[in-house]
Amino acid sequence: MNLFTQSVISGLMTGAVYTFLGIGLVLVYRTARILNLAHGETFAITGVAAALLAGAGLPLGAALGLAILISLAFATGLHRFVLRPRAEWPAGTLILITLGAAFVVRGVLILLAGTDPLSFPVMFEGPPVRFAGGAMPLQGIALVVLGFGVSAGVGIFLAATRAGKQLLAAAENPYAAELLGVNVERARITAYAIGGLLGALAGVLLIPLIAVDFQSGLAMTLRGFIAAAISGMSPVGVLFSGLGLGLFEAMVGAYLGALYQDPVMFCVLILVALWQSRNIRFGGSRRA
Amino acid sequence: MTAVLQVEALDGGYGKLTVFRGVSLAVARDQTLGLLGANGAGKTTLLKTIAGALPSTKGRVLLDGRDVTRMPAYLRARAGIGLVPEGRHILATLSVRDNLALTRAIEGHRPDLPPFEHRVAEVYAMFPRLAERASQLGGSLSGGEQQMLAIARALLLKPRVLMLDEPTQGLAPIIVQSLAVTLAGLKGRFAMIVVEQNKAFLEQLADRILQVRSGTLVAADGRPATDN
Ligand SMILES: Nc1ncnc2c1ncn2[C@@H]1O[C@H](COP(=O)(O)OP(=O)(O)OP(=O)(O)O)[C@@H](O)[C@H]1O
Ligand SMILES: [Mg+2]
Repeated sequence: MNLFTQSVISGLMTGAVYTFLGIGLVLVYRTARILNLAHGETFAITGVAAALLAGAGLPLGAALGLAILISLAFATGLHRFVLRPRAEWPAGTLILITLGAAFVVRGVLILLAGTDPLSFPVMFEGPPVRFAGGAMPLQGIALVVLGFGVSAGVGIFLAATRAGKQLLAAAENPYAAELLGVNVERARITAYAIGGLLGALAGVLLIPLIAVDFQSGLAMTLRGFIAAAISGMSPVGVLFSGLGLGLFEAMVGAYLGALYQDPVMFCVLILVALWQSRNIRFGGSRRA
Repeated sequence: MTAVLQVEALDGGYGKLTVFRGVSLAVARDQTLGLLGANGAGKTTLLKTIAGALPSTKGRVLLDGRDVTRMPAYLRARAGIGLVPEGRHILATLSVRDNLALTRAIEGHRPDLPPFEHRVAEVYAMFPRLAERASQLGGSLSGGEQQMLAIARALLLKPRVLMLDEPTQGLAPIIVQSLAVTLAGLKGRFAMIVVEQNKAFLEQLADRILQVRSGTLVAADGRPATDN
Protein backbone atom coordinates (compact mmCIF):
# COMPACT_ATOMS: atom_id res chain seq x y z
CA MET A 1 0.00 0.00 0.00
CA ASN A 2 1.29 3.40 -0.95
CA LEU A 3 1.35 5.73 2.05
CA PHE A 4 1.13 8.88 -0.01
CA THR A 5 -1.85 7.76 -2.11
CA GLN A 6 -3.60 6.47 0.95
CA SER A 7 -3.10 9.81 2.72
CA VAL A 8 -4.43 11.71 -0.26
CA ILE A 9 -7.52 9.48 -0.20
CA SER A 10 -8.15 9.99 3.48
CA GLY A 11 -7.35 13.69 3.10
CA LEU A 12 -9.94 14.04 0.37
CA MET A 13 -12.55 12.41 2.58
CA THR A 14 -11.87 14.51 5.66
CA GLY A 15 -11.45 17.57 3.44
CA ALA A 16 -14.96 17.03 2.10
CA VAL A 17 -16.24 16.85 5.67
CA TYR A 18 -14.44 20.04 6.68
CA THR A 19 -15.91 21.78 3.66
CA PHE A 20 -19.38 20.56 4.59
CA LEU A 21 -18.97 21.92 8.12
CA GLY A 22 -17.16 25.08 7.11
CA ILE A 23 -19.97 26.19 4.78
CA GLY A 24 -22.55 26.02 7.55
CA LEU A 25 -20.32 28.02 9.87
CA VAL A 26 -19.71 30.66 7.20
CA LEU A 27 -23.38 31.05 6.27
CA VAL A 28 -24.49 31.41 9.87
CA TYR A 29 -21.61 33.73 10.69
CA ARG A 30 -22.45 35.98 7.77
CA THR A 31 -26.24 36.08 8.06
CA ALA A 32 -26.85 35.83 11.80
CA ARG A 33 -23.40 37.24 12.75
CA ILE A 34 -22.75 34.52 15.23
CA LEU A 35 -19.83 32.12 15.45
CA ASN A 36 -21.85 28.99 16.19
CA LEU A 37 -19.67 26.71 18.31
CA ALA A 38 -22.50 24.18 18.47
CA HIS A 39 -22.36 23.72 14.71
CA GLY A 40 -20.34 20.48 14.80
CA GLU A 41 -22.99 18.96 17.07
CA THR A 42 -25.16 18.52 13.98
CA PHE A 43 -22.56 15.94 12.90
CA ALA A 44 -22.53 14.18 16.27
CA ILE A 45 -26.30 14.28 16.75
CA THR A 46 -26.89 12.78 13.32
CA GLY A 47 -24.34 10.04 13.92
CA VAL A 48 -25.58 9.03 17.35
CA ALA A 49 -29.23 9.23 16.34
CA ALA A 50 -28.62 7.15 13.21
CA ALA A 51 -26.65 4.54 15.16
CA LEU A 52 -29.29 4.24 17.88
CA LEU A 53 -32.21 4.15 15.45
CA ALA A 54 -30.52 1.63 13.15
CA GLY A 55 -29.52 -0.38 16.23
CA ALA A 56 -33.14 -0.41 17.34
CA GLY A 57 -34.06 -2.17 14.13
CA LEU A 58 -35.19 0.69 11.91
CA PRO A 59 -34.28 0.25 8.22
CA LEU A 60 -31.06 2.14 7.46
CA GLY A 61 -32.71 4.63 5.11
CA ALA A 62 -35.36 5.55 7.65
CA ALA A 63 -32.80 5.83 10.44
CA LEU A 64 -30.63 8.15 8.37
CA GLY A 65 -33.58 10.27 7.25
CA LEU A 66 -34.85 10.66 10.77
CA ALA A 67 -31.36 11.47 12.07
CA ILE A 68 -30.97 14.18 9.44
CA LEU A 69 -34.33 15.68 10.47
CA ILE A 70 -33.24 15.72 14.12
CA SER A 71 -30.07 17.58 13.16
CA LEU A 72 -32.10 20.05 11.14
CA ALA A 73 -34.45 20.63 14.06
CA PHE A 74 -31.48 21.17 16.37
CA ALA A 75 -29.80 23.72 14.09
CA THR A 76 -32.91 25.77 13.40
CA GLY A 77 -34.25 25.39 16.94
CA LEU A 78 -30.99 26.69 18.40
CA HIS A 79 -31.49 29.85 16.37
CA ARG A 80 -35.22 30.23 16.82
CA PHE A 81 -35.56 29.46 20.52
CA VAL A 82 -32.15 30.18 22.04
CA LEU A 83 -30.24 32.76 20.02
CA ARG A 84 -32.87 34.88 18.28
CA PRO A 85 -34.71 35.92 21.45
CA ARG A 86 -31.32 37.22 22.67
CA ALA A 87 -30.31 38.96 19.44
CA GLU A 88 -29.53 42.18 21.32
CA TRP A 89 -27.02 40.50 23.61
CA PRO A 90 -23.29 41.07 23.06
CA ALA A 91 -21.82 38.78 20.41
CA GLY A 92 -19.27 37.37 22.87
CA THR A 93 -22.05 36.24 25.18
CA LEU A 94 -23.91 34.60 22.34
CA ILE A 95 -20.78 32.69 21.33
CA LEU A 96 -20.54 31.39 24.89
CA ILE A 97 -24.19 30.36 24.70
CA THR A 98 -23.46 28.31 21.59
CA LEU A 99 -20.55 26.70 23.43
CA GLY A 100 -22.92 25.94 26.30
CA ALA A 101 -25.34 24.40 23.82
CA ALA A 102 -22.53 22.20 22.50
CA PHE A 103 -21.86 20.90 26.02
CA VAL A 104 -25.56 20.30 26.63
CA VAL A 105 -25.63 18.18 23.48
CA ARG A 106 -22.58 16.28 24.73
CA GLY A 107 -24.33 15.52 27.98
CA VAL A 108 -27.48 14.36 26.26
CA LEU A 109 -25.47 12.15 23.91
CA ILE A 110 -23.69 10.53 26.88
CA LEU A 111 -27.02 9.92 28.61
CA LEU A 112 -28.55 8.38 25.49
CA ALA A 113 -25.62 6.44 24.11
CA GLY A 114 -22.89 6.21 26.74
CA THR A 115 -19.27 7.06 26.09
CA ASP A 116 -18.32 4.28 23.68
CA PRO A 117 -17.92 5.05 19.99
CA LEU A 118 -20.92 4.11 17.84
CA SER A 119 -21.36 3.50 14.17
CA PHE A 120 -23.84 2.29 11.60
CA PRO A 121 -23.63 0.54 8.22
CA VAL A 122 -22.49 2.31 5.08
CA MET A 123 -25.03 3.35 2.45
CA PHE A 124 -22.81 2.47 -0.48
CA GLU A 125 -21.65 -1.14 -0.16
CA GLY A 126 -19.09 -2.86 -2.30
CA PRO A 127 -15.39 -3.57 -2.62
CA PRO A 128 -13.11 -0.53 -2.34
CA VAL A 129 -11.79 1.00 -5.53
CA ARG A 130 -8.04 0.45 -5.84
CA PHE A 131 -5.71 2.79 -7.71
CA ALA A 132 -2.10 3.95 -7.54
CA GLY A 133 -1.41 1.78 -4.55
CA GLY A 134 -4.33 3.03 -2.49
CA ALA A 135 -7.86 1.89 -1.73
CA MET A 136 -10.94 4.04 -1.42
CA PRO A 137 -14.22 2.68 -0.09
CA LEU A 138 -17.29 3.36 -2.21
CA GLN A 139 -18.77 5.31 0.68
CA GLY A 140 -15.64 7.48 0.67
CA ILE A 141 -16.03 8.20 -3.03
CA ALA A 142 -19.65 9.17 -2.40
CA LEU A 143 -18.51 11.40 0.45
CA VAL A 144 -15.98 13.24 -1.71
CA VAL A 145 -18.26 13.57 -4.73
CA LEU A 146 -21.25 14.69 -2.67
CA GLY A 147 -19.12 16.86 -0.40
CA PHE A 148 -17.68 18.96 -3.15
CA GLY A 149 -20.76 18.69 -5.35
CA VAL A 150 -23.13 19.91 -2.67
CA SER A 151 -20.71 22.63 -1.63
CA ALA A 152 -20.47 23.86 -5.19
CA GLY A 153 -24.27 23.68 -5.30
CA VAL A 154 -24.49 26.00 -2.31
CA GLY A 155 -22.14 28.39 -4.09
CA ILE A 156 -24.40 28.36 -7.15
CA PHE A 157 -27.48 28.81 -4.96
CA LEU A 158 -25.93 31.94 -3.44
CA ALA A 159 -24.65 33.43 -6.67
CA ALA A 160 -27.45 32.59 -9.07
CA THR A 161 -30.80 32.25 -7.33
CA ARG A 162 -33.10 34.89 -5.94
CA ALA A 163 -33.25 33.27 -2.51
CA GLY A 164 -29.46 33.01 -2.50
CA LYS A 165 -29.02 36.68 -3.29
CA GLN A 166 -31.53 37.58 -0.60
CA LEU A 167 -29.40 35.58 1.80
CA LEU A 168 -26.24 37.41 0.71
CA ALA A 169 -27.99 40.77 1.02
CA ALA A 170 -29.29 39.92 4.49
CA ALA A 171 -25.75 38.88 5.41
CA GLU A 172 -24.10 42.05 4.13
CA ASN A 173 -26.60 44.60 5.39
CA PRO A 174 -29.77 43.39 7.11
CA TYR A 175 -31.14 46.94 7.37
CA ALA A 176 -30.84 47.61 3.66
CA ALA A 177 -32.26 44.17 2.86
CA GLU A 178 -35.39 44.60 4.97
CA LEU A 179 -36.04 48.05 3.52
CA LEU A 180 -36.16 46.33 0.13
CA GLY A 181 -38.75 43.81 1.30
CA VAL A 182 -36.38 40.94 2.10
CA ASN A 183 -37.41 38.74 5.00
CA VAL A 184 -34.10 38.80 6.85
CA GLU A 185 -35.28 36.40 9.52
CA ARG A 186 -36.12 33.81 6.90
CA ALA A 187 -32.68 34.24 5.35
CA ARG A 188 -31.12 33.55 8.74
CA ILE A 189 -33.15 30.44 9.42
CA THR A 190 -32.27 29.25 5.91
CA ALA A 191 -28.59 29.66 6.75
CA TYR A 192 -28.98 27.58 9.92
CA ALA A 193 -31.00 24.97 8.02
CA ILE A 194 -28.38 24.63 5.27
CA GLY A 195 -25.74 24.32 7.99
CA GLY A 196 -27.72 21.67 9.85
CA LEU A 197 -28.33 19.73 6.66
CA LEU A 198 -24.69 19.78 5.55
CA GLY A 199 -23.46 18.82 9.03
CA ALA A 200 -25.89 15.93 9.01
CA LEU A 201 -24.84 14.81 5.52
CA ALA A 202 -21.21 14.84 6.63
CA GLY A 203 -22.16 12.62 9.56
CA VAL A 204 -24.21 10.21 7.50
CA LEU A 205 -21.38 9.76 5.00
CA LEU A 206 -18.27 9.80 7.19
CA ILE A 207 -19.32 8.12 10.43
CA PRO A 208 -19.72 4.59 8.97
CA LEU A 209 -16.05 4.84 7.97
CA ILE A 210 -14.83 5.99 11.37
CA ALA A 211 -17.17 6.18 14.35
CA VAL A 212 -18.85 8.82 16.41
CA ASP A 213 -18.94 9.54 20.12
CA PHE A 214 -20.04 12.35 22.38
CA GLN A 215 -16.82 14.30 21.73
CA SER A 216 -17.04 14.38 17.94
CA GLY A 217 -19.05 17.60 17.73
CA LEU A 218 -16.51 20.06 19.04
CA ALA A 219 -13.71 18.40 17.08
CA MET A 220 -15.78 18.95 13.93
CA THR A 221 -16.60 22.55 14.86
CA LEU A 222 -12.90 23.19 15.31
CA ARG A 223 -11.93 21.75 11.93
CA GLY A 224 -14.81 23.44 10.18
CA PHE A 225 -13.87 26.73 11.78
CA ILE A 226 -10.23 26.50 10.72
CA ALA A 227 -11.35 25.85 7.14
CA ALA A 228 -13.86 28.70 7.32
CA ALA A 229 -11.33 31.13 8.81
CA ILE A 230 -8.64 30.30 6.23
CA SER A 231 -11.14 31.17 3.52
CA GLY A 232 -11.89 34.50 5.20
CA MET A 233 -15.44 33.29 5.91
CA SER A 234 -16.16 32.93 2.20
CA PRO A 235 -18.81 30.33 1.31
CA VAL A 236 -17.01 29.53 -1.94
CA GLY A 237 -13.44 29.79 -0.65
CA VAL A 238 -14.15 27.25 2.08
CA LEU A 239 -14.44 24.58 -0.61
CA PHE A 240 -10.73 24.95 -1.27
CA SER A 241 -9.57 25.62 2.28
CA GLY A 242 -11.51 22.58 3.54
CA LEU A 243 -9.89 20.38 0.93
CA GLY A 244 -6.43 21.77 1.68
CA LEU A 245 -6.91 21.34 5.39
CA GLY A 246 -8.05 17.73 5.01
CA LEU A 247 -5.03 16.88 2.86
CA PHE A 248 -2.67 18.66 5.24
CA GLU A 249 -4.05 16.85 8.27
CA ALA A 250 -3.80 13.48 6.52
CA MET A 251 -0.18 14.15 5.59
CA VAL A 252 0.65 15.13 9.17
CA GLY A 253 -0.96 11.87 10.32
CA ALA A 254 0.91 9.81 7.76
CA TYR A 255 4.37 11.28 8.05
CA LEU A 256 4.53 12.56 11.64
CA GLY A 257 2.07 10.19 13.26
CA ALA A 258 -1.56 10.35 14.31
CA LEU A 259 -0.57 11.72 17.72
CA TYR A 260 0.63 14.92 16.07
CA GLN A 261 -2.64 15.66 14.32
CA ASP A 262 -4.39 17.45 17.17
CA PRO A 263 -1.44 19.60 18.32
CA VAL A 264 -0.61 20.56 14.75
CA MET A 265 -4.24 21.47 14.04
CA PHE A 266 -4.36 23.64 17.15
CA CYS A 267 -1.20 25.42 16.00
CA VAL A 268 -2.83 25.99 12.62
CA LEU A 269 -5.87 27.38 14.44
CA ILE A 270 -3.73 29.84 16.39
CA LEU A 271 -1.83 30.94 13.29
CA VAL A 272 -5.05 31.39 11.31
CA ALA A 273 -6.62 33.33 14.17
CA LEU A 274 -3.62 35.66 14.31
CA TRP A 275 -3.54 36.05 10.55
CA GLN A 276 -7.28 36.65 10.09
CA SER A 277 -7.95 38.55 13.31
CA ARG A 278 -8.16 41.80 11.40
CA ASN A 279 -10.69 40.44 8.91
CA ILE A 280 -12.97 38.39 11.09
CA ARG A 281 -14.63 40.25 13.89
CA PHE A 282 -16.42 38.35 16.57
CA GLY A 283 -18.24 41.18 18.19
CA GLY A 284 -17.73 44.38 16.29
CA SER A 285 -20.15 44.11 13.42
CA ARG A 286 -23.78 45.13 13.52
CA ARG A 287 -26.25 42.38 14.16
CA ALA A 288 -29.45 44.40 13.72
CA MET B 1 -58.01 64.92 2.96
CA THR B 2 -57.48 61.20 2.38
CA ALA B 3 -54.05 60.55 3.74
CA VAL B 4 -51.91 57.71 2.36
CA LEU B 5 -49.70 57.87 5.41
CA GLN B 6 -50.98 58.91 8.76
CA VAL B 7 -48.81 59.03 11.87
CA GLU B 8 -50.65 59.50 15.15
CA ALA B 9 -48.95 60.63 18.38
CA LEU B 10 -45.92 58.46 17.71
CA ASP B 11 -43.09 58.00 20.24
CA GLY B 12 -39.86 56.24 19.36
CA GLY B 13 -36.16 55.91 20.07
CA TYR B 14 -33.55 53.39 21.03
CA GLY B 15 -34.39 51.14 23.97
CA LYS B 16 -35.06 53.36 26.95
CA LEU B 17 -33.94 56.49 25.12
CA THR B 18 -36.94 58.29 23.63
CA VAL B 19 -35.78 60.36 20.66
CA PHE B 20 -39.10 61.76 19.40
CA ARG B 21 -42.44 62.25 21.14
CA GLY B 22 -46.04 62.76 20.10
CA VAL B 23 -45.30 63.10 16.39
CA SER B 24 -48.45 63.37 14.28
CA LEU B 25 -48.46 63.96 10.56
CA ALA B 26 -50.50 63.08 7.51
CA VAL B 27 -49.48 63.05 3.87
CA ALA B 28 -51.98 62.93 1.03
CA ARG B 29 -51.34 60.71 -1.96
CA ASP B 30 -50.05 63.46 -4.22
CA GLN B 31 -48.40 65.57 -1.56
CA THR B 32 -44.73 66.18 -0.71
CA LEU B 33 -43.87 66.96 2.88
CA GLY B 34 -40.50 68.46 3.74
CA LEU B 35 -38.85 67.96 7.14
CA LEU B 36 -36.09 70.25 8.32
CA GLY B 37 -34.13 69.91 11.51
CA ALA B 38 -30.72 70.23 13.12
CA ASN B 39 -28.27 67.36 13.52
CA GLY B 40 -29.50 64.95 16.13
CA ALA B 41 -33.05 66.31 16.11
CA GLY B 42 -34.44 62.84 15.45
CA LYS B 43 -35.31 62.95 11.73
CA THR B 44 -33.63 59.69 10.81
CA THR B 45 -35.04 57.96 13.87
CA LEU B 46 -38.54 59.09 12.89
CA LEU B 47 -38.25 57.84 9.30
CA LYS B 48 -36.79 54.51 10.42
CA THR B 49 -39.66 54.09 12.84
CA ILE B 50 -42.26 54.86 10.17
CA ALA B 51 -40.51 52.30 7.94
CA GLY B 52 -40.65 49.74 10.74
CA ALA B 53 -36.89 49.32 11.14
CA LEU B 54 -37.18 50.65 14.71
CA PRO B 55 -40.04 49.88 17.10
CA SER B 56 -42.35 52.66 18.25
CA THR B 57 -43.30 52.83 21.91
CA LYS B 58 -46.55 54.75 21.56
CA GLY B 59 -48.94 55.89 18.85
CA ARG B 60 -49.87 54.46 15.48
CA VAL B 61 -48.76 54.39 11.86
CA LEU B 62 -51.49 53.97 9.23
CA LEU B 63 -50.92 53.20 5.57
CA ASP B 64 -54.03 53.79 3.47
CA GLY B 65 -56.00 53.69 6.70
CA ARG B 66 -54.57 50.29 7.66
CA ASP B 67 -52.75 50.06 10.99
CA VAL B 68 -49.18 48.90 10.25
CA THR B 69 -47.72 49.83 13.65
CA ARG B 70 -46.84 46.22 14.51
CA MET B 71 -45.78 45.21 11.01
CA PRO B 72 -42.09 44.35 10.46
CA ALA B 73 -40.09 46.52 8.09
CA TYR B 74 -39.94 44.05 5.21
CA LEU B 75 -43.74 43.78 5.13
CA ARG B 76 -44.13 47.55 5.25
CA ALA B 77 -41.73 47.78 2.31
CA ARG B 78 -43.84 45.25 0.41
CA ALA B 79 -47.00 47.17 1.36
CA GLY B 80 -45.60 50.36 -0.15
CA ILE B 81 -43.54 52.28 2.41
CA GLY B 82 -40.28 53.06 0.64
CA LEU B 83 -37.30 54.56 2.46
CA VAL B 84 -34.15 55.83 0.78
CA PRO B 85 -32.04 55.65 3.92
CA GLU B 86 -29.46 58.08 5.17
CA GLY B 87 -26.09 56.84 3.93
CA ARG B 88 -27.78 55.01 1.02
CA HIS B 89 -26.98 51.49 2.21
CA ILE B 90 -26.12 50.10 -1.19
CA LEU B 91 -25.31 46.39 -1.12
CA ALA B 92 -21.65 46.70 -2.05
CA THR B 93 -21.06 43.04 -2.91
CA LEU B 94 -24.07 42.73 -5.19
CA SER B 95 -24.27 44.11 -8.73
CA VAL B 96 -26.43 47.12 -9.53
CA ARG B 97 -28.92 44.81 -11.18
CA ASP B 98 -29.02 42.48 -8.19
CA ASN B 99 -29.51 45.45 -5.88
CA LEU B 100 -32.56 46.34 -7.94
CA ALA B 101 -33.75 42.74 -8.21
CA LEU B 102 -34.01 42.41 -4.42
CA THR B 103 -37.20 44.44 -4.66
CA ARG B 104 -38.83 41.52 -6.47
CA ALA B 105 -39.76 40.52 -2.93
CA ILE B 106 -42.90 42.61 -3.51
CA GLU B 107 -44.09 40.25 -6.26
CA GLY B 108 -47.23 38.49 -5.19
CA HIS B 109 -47.96 41.16 -2.60
CA ARG B 110 -49.10 43.93 -4.94
CA PRO B 111 -51.83 43.92 -7.53
CA ASP B 112 -51.24 44.63 -11.23
CA LEU B 113 -47.45 44.54 -11.27
CA PRO B 114 -45.98 44.69 -14.75
CA PRO B 115 -43.18 42.15 -15.39
CA PHE B 116 -39.92 42.92 -13.61
CA GLU B 117 -38.13 43.67 -16.90
CA HIS B 118 -40.62 46.44 -17.63
CA ARG B 119 -40.30 47.88 -14.15
CA VAL B 120 -36.51 47.91 -14.39
CA ALA B 121 -36.59 49.44 -17.87
CA GLU B 122 -38.62 52.27 -16.42
CA VAL B 123 -36.04 53.15 -13.74
CA TYR B 124 -33.19 52.68 -16.23
CA ALA B 125 -34.90 55.24 -18.44
CA MET B 126 -34.90 57.63 -15.51
CA PHE B 127 -31.28 56.86 -14.54
CA PRO B 128 -29.45 55.79 -17.74
CA ARG B 129 -26.21 55.75 -15.76
CA LEU B 130 -27.47 52.72 -13.82
CA ALA B 131 -28.24 50.85 -17.03
CA GLU B 132 -24.66 51.39 -18.18
CA ARG B 133 -23.36 50.05 -14.89
CA ALA B 134 -25.90 47.27 -14.43
CA SER B 135 -23.33 44.52 -13.94
CA GLN B 136 -20.92 46.60 -11.86
CA LEU B 137 -20.77 45.97 -8.10
CA GLY B 138 -22.77 48.39 -5.97
CA GLY B 139 -19.66 49.22 -3.94
CA SER B 140 -17.84 50.48 -7.03
CA LEU B 141 -20.34 53.25 -7.82
CA SER B 142 -19.64 56.92 -7.14
CA GLY B 143 -21.59 58.67 -4.42
CA GLY B 144 -24.01 60.23 -6.88
CA GLU B 145 -24.55 56.94 -8.67
CA GLN B 146 -25.18 55.23 -5.34
CA GLN B 147 -27.84 57.81 -4.54
CA MET B 148 -29.46 57.12 -7.92
CA LEU B 149 -29.40 53.40 -7.18
CA ALA B 150 -30.88 53.93 -3.72
CA ILE B 151 -33.72 55.95 -5.22
CA ALA B 152 -34.20 53.50 -8.09
CA ARG B 153 -34.50 50.63 -5.62
CA ALA B 154 -37.12 52.45 -3.61
CA LEU B 155 -39.05 53.29 -6.79
CA LEU B 156 -39.12 49.61 -7.72
CA LEU B 157 -41.02 48.98 -4.50
CA LYS B 158 -43.90 50.87 -6.20
CA PRO B 159 -44.15 53.02 -3.09
CA ARG B 160 -47.41 54.46 -1.83
CA VAL B 161 -45.23 56.80 0.17
CA LEU B 162 -41.56 57.44 -0.60
CA MET B 163 -39.35 58.78 2.18
CA LEU B 164 -35.91 60.21 1.42
CA ASP B 165 -33.43 60.86 4.23
CA GLU B 166 -31.00 63.65 3.27
CA PRO B 167 -30.77 62.71 -0.40
CA THR B 168 -28.37 65.57 -1.21
CA GLN B 169 -25.82 64.66 1.44
CA GLY B 170 -22.33 64.52 -0.01
CA LEU B 171 -23.37 65.36 -3.57
CA ALA B 172 -21.80 68.05 -5.75
CA PRO B 173 -24.06 71.09 -6.39
CA ILE B 174 -24.64 70.16 -10.01
CA ILE B 175 -25.78 66.67 -9.03
CA VAL B 176 -28.00 68.15 -6.33
CA GLN B 177 -29.65 70.20 -9.05
CA SER B 178 -30.30 67.21 -11.28
CA LEU B 179 -31.63 65.29 -8.27
CA ALA B 180 -34.04 68.16 -7.61
CA VAL B 181 -35.27 67.86 -11.20
CA THR B 182 -35.66 64.09 -10.90
CA LEU B 183 -37.60 64.33 -7.66
CA ALA B 184 -39.75 67.16 -9.00
CA GLY B 185 -40.65 64.81 -11.86
CA LEU B 186 -41.84 62.22 -9.36
CA LYS B 187 -43.91 64.68 -7.40
CA GLY B 188 -47.57 63.87 -7.37
CA ARG B 189 -47.12 60.22 -8.40
CA PHE B 190 -47.11 59.14 -4.76
CA ALA B 191 -46.81 60.72 -1.35
CA MET B 192 -43.29 61.85 -0.42
CA ILE B 193 -41.51 62.83 2.76
CA VAL B 194 -38.15 64.49 2.20
CA VAL B 195 -35.76 65.11 5.09
CA GLU B 196 -33.13 67.72 4.30
CA GLN B 197 -30.78 70.21 5.91
CA ASN B 198 -30.62 71.98 2.57
CA LYS B 199 -33.51 74.40 2.97
CA ALA B 200 -33.38 75.79 -0.55
CA PHE B 201 -33.62 72.28 -1.99
CA LEU B 202 -36.61 71.53 0.18
CA GLU B 203 -38.40 74.77 -0.71
CA GLN B 204 -38.11 73.87 -4.38
CA LEU B 205 -39.70 70.51 -3.80
CA ALA B 206 -42.07 70.40 -0.85
CA ASP B 207 -45.72 71.43 -0.71
CA ARG B 208 -45.25 72.23 2.94
CA ILE B 209 -42.37 72.12 5.37
CA LEU B 210 -42.29 71.13 9.02
CA GLN B 211 -39.41 71.25 11.45
CA VAL B 212 -38.19 68.53 13.74
CA ARG B 213 -36.97 70.22 16.89
CA SER B 214 -35.53 67.97 19.61
CA GLY B 215 -37.93 65.19 18.80
CA THR B 216 -41.14 67.10 18.25
CA LEU B 217 -42.74 68.42 15.10
CA VAL B 218 -43.24 72.17 14.77
CA ALA B 219 -44.37 74.36 11.90
CA ALA B 220 -41.66 76.05 9.87
CA ASP B 221 -42.31 79.32 11.67
CA GLY B 222 -41.68 77.64 15.01
CA ARG B 223 -45.28 77.36 16.22
CA PRO B 224 -46.53 73.90 17.28
CA ALA B 225 -47.58 71.94 14.19
CA THR B 226 -51.30 71.29 14.05
CA ASP B 227 -50.95 68.72 11.35
CA ASN B 228 -53.69 66.40 10.09
N1 LIG C 1 -28.33 53.61 17.26
C1 LIG C 1 -28.55 54.57 18.19
N2 LIG C 1 -28.53 54.28 19.50
C2 LIG C 1 -28.75 55.24 20.42
N3 LIG C 1 -28.98 56.51 20.12
C3 LIG C 1 -29.00 56.88 18.83
C4 LIG C 1 -28.79 55.92 17.79
N4 LIG C 1 -28.86 56.56 16.61
C5 LIG C 1 -29.12 57.86 16.89
N5 LIG C 1 -29.20 58.05 18.22
C6 LIG C 1 -29.49 59.31 18.89
O1 LIG C 1 -30.79 59.73 18.55
C7 LIG C 1 -30.82 61.13 18.37
C8 LIG C 1 -31.43 61.46 17.02
O2 LIG C 1 -30.63 60.90 15.99
P1 LIG C 1 -31.06 60.95 14.47
O3 LIG C 1 -30.08 60.16 13.70
O4 LIG C 1 -32.50 60.58 14.37
O5 LIG C 1 -30.92 62.51 14.15
P2 LIG C 1 -31.06 63.25 12.77
O6 LIG C 1 -32.08 64.32 12.98
O7 LIG C 1 -31.29 62.31 11.66
O8 LIG C 1 -29.64 63.92 12.64
P3 LIG C 1 -28.71 64.18 11.34
O9 LIG C 1 -29.21 65.42 10.72
O10 LIG C 1 -27.35 64.35 11.90
O11 LIG C 1 -28.84 62.99 10.45
C9 LIG C 1 -29.39 61.62 18.50
O12 LIG C 1 -29.25 62.20 19.76
C10 LIG C 1 -28.56 60.38 18.41
O13 LIG C 1 -27.43 60.48 19.24
MG1 LIG D 1 -30.27 61.77 10.07
